[in-house]
Amino acid sequence: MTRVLVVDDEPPIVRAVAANLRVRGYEVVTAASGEAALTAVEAHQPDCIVLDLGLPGVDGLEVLRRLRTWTEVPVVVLTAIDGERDKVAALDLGADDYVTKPFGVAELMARIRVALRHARTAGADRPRVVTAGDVAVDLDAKLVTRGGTQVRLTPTEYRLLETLATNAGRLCTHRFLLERVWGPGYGDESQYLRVYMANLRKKLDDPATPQLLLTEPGMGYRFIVPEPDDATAEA
Amino acid sequence: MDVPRRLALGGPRGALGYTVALAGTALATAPLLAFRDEVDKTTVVLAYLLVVTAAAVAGGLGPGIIAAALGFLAFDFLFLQPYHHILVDDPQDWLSLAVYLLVAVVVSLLVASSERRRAQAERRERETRMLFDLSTSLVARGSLDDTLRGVVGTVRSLFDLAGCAIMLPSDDGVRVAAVDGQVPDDPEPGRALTVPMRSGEHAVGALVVVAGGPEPSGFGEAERRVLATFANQAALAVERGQQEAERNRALALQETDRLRTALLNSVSHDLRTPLASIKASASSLLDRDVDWSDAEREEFLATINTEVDRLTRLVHNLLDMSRIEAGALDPHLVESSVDEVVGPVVRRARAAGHQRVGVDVPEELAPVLVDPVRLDQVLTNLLDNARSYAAGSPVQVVARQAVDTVELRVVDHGPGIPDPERERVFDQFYRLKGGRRPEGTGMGLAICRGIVEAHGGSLRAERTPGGGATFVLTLPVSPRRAPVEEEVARP
Repeated sequence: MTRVLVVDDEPPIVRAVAANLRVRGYEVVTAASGEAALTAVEAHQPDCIVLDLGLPGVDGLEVLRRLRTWTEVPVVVLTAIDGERDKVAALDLGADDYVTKPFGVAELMARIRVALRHARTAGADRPRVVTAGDVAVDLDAKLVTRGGTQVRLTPTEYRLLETLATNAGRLCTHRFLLERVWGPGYGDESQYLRVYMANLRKKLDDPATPQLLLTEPGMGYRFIVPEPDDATAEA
Repeated sequence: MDVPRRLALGGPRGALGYTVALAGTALATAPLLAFRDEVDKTTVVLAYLLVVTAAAVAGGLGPGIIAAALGFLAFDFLFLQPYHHILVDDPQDWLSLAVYLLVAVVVSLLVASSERRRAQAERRERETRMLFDLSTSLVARGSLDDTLRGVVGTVRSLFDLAGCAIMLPSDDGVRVAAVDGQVPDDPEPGRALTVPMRSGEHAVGALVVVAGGPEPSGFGEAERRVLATFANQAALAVERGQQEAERNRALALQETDRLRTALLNSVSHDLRTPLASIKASASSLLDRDVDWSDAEREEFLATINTEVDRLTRLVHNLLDMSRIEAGALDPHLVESSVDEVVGPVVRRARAAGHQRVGVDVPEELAPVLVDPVRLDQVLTNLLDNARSYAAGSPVQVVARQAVDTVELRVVDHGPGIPDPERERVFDQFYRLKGGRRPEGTGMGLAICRGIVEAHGGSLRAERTPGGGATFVLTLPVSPRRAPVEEEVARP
């Protein structure tokens, strides 16, 4: 059974999230502080963590920083609506996704599923062809097709698309993409991204109403893969 | 202080010199004349040179020359043959006269110039000492206003002035920043002097001095010089003070800003948290994919209900707080007796069954001027607090008459408030560390104090003897005392 650790200092939130996870077949562990969360991760080895950033004592960012020194367990952070900087910091620290409070439970469940799926496919048996709508990215052949027709990409455009497709469904921050595609030291050059994302959208997506390559304003980009129907934890 | 009050070398010294010249010549002549035949001419010459020197020392060059001329005439007329005649027989005597005159003039010049230098040095020393005294007054003691008050006081006493003031520019023209003695708006010309206080290129303000003494003597060159030098030093102090004030203002603004951000963060957190719980519960209930059990459904609904209450309380408190801060609380004051207000609050608290509440309100208390609804709110809040922080221990409400106030105490025997936090509990959004009251908004006591202060009363926290917290509410007694019926002695 998939085990999820829910970390929040507000009991009503923990209760609601835990009830929703249980009813969907997950096993739930809870913690109300940063210290308790770190202990729970070691004790229960969860498959996914829902982490509130505004914890008393050791805050969420610090918990994340410490976790990332020894585990790659997927983490979905809960943040305040005006915690823009915390969001980016959390994602740069290695959080898989974020949900802004107040959140609808369905949205949180969807984010948890994406994070779990990505973690599961991050191993050796990841699919070498990522398909989204009529676009297919063959990571081995470095071949991109749209509606069966090959699309010509420049090497940089391809590397950018490859990074996004490998992390399909996840939010990739500006810094993450820039450092993966252009290399360390380019982390602040967001304008490069805007140019290349515009080109990719022209070739693969509808630039007016993007379906495939979504912008998360001020944060980064997301390669959208329509969710498969197996919406429960049984997989 | 042995510094002379005035610096000018006036007429008296000149007069003294001429007196010495005249009297000295006369005094020297009389004995010499008596023994005219016995004394040597050299003795006479030396005697008159002595007079010349004395006159020059006393009065400078003028009296010296006069003494020299008088000596010359006396020597010529009285001691050289033929007597009483300008002419002399012996050519040797002409030479004596010439040498005498030359020596007398040279002595006068030398003495006068050395005397002048000495006087100058003395004046400089006096100026330096005055400037030193004045500068000492500039060493900042506290605020700029304090320093300026020290400055005008020192200037006035050093120069023996009728008055001294420092004028600084203000938003609408000029203001008197500090004044000592009498500085009329429109002083007699010649009596008052306005010295600009310059710092670099621009004038920072002006030092206005009004001469004292019965006759307006005005200010001499030396005094003007000292005042000008000093005014410029004072200008630097003013600039320094103004910069300091500016810096303090900036710091205060920064602090206010920091506080406001902290408050905003706290409020937004407090508002958001119940919203997040409500949203999570409601969206769970609305999710058609899930079949919730009755117990689960019940729990979501209960959460929504509790959190809406919490949100409501918070919004009420925020509204009260902003009313208090805007001074718009406007209590509807009526004359009430204390037990009228205390009674219902205590009954409610007892009915809720959470608290053992003891009441000690004497009947003879003077009526107070309060808004009963608001005072009810304050007392309810204080009892709630006692319940939360001193759970299980009994609470007493005690009223006592003071001089023109009534003191109302809410006494608990819980863990109490640590000394350093006793005043801070009245700060907005301050919660006691380890307080078991997550549902609190951190605004209750701040609001209570705001309400009580709007009544003209006060609210403070004390230690309960033997442990616990006591909140002391002071309420002003109604000025319209109920008429006391006097007992009339019956015949």
